Amino acid sequence: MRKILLASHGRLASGLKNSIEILVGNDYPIVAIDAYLDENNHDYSEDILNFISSVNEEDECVIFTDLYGGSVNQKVVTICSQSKEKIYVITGMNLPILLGVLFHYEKLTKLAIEEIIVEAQVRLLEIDSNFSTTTNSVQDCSDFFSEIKGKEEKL
Amino acid sequence: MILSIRVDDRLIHGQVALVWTKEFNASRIVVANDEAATNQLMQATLQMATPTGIKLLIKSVSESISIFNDPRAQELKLFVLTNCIADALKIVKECENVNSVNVANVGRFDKVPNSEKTKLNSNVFVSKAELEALKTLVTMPLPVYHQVIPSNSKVTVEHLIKNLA
Repeated sequence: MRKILLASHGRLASGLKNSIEILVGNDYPIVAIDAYLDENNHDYSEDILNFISSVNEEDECVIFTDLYGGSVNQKVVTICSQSKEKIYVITGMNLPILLGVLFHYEKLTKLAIEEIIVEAQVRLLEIDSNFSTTTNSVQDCSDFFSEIKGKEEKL
Repeated sequence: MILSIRVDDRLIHGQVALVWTKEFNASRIVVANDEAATNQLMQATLQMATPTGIKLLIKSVSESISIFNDPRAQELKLFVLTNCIADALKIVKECENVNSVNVANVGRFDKVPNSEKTKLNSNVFVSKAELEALKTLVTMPLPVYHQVIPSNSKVTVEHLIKNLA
């Protein structure tokens, strides 16, 4: 199983988890840690440790943190460096990277994660006067019916 | 063949792009919508929402119907989106090759005041005209259900409207 932990300052982690549930459902084992919200000074290191101890040898484990260098990330890095499990830590998490990891159906590797990260970048959209004029093909039936390369589609 | 018509007031969006196209293993999406067929900005945003590798066609409802009855369409697996129940009903009435209709998200963006709509559940709000279309749709000989994402169980629309007068 692929086990995922999201950790953030405040509600980003549970917020991302909530967005995932709306978009693709709650079939995924995602744990969220919203740090520094409670009034009892709860040490969330325990929650990180609990998560890691739930990971079995056959599991794939990914921890996402909100901010490189932030205290949440520091805690995660410190705890992971003392763990014998293979854990991928991804920082600067966003919704696309999380979806990319959830929907990567092959084994997770360093290379695979790097490729998903490239696809998951924030990007600047150029919404200029040409924005809506580049999609003529969506009205073209002969293009629509033409074969899709490498795809066997006949019923 | 039409794998499914999904009635969704957002047409192509996150749920559709991320999970439904995979669920149906669909490689061709048709948006049957009169406004989108003439609005280039809508076309651009719908194209943006379409996953890489999937072909998108945007046509008016009546043009879509002729395309679905084109022999070339019989051999392909099409996933069709309309933004209202009435449009889905038109297609079902005029095309024989529709497997099912999923009434998923209705009535959030139709600008009809909520006071004039009937709430069937938290995702389906129908105006009088939409409710009439829905009542006709359930009499058609194909499964008509409500399922927002595949991990939700299917609820028949018959069940959703059974308590209405």
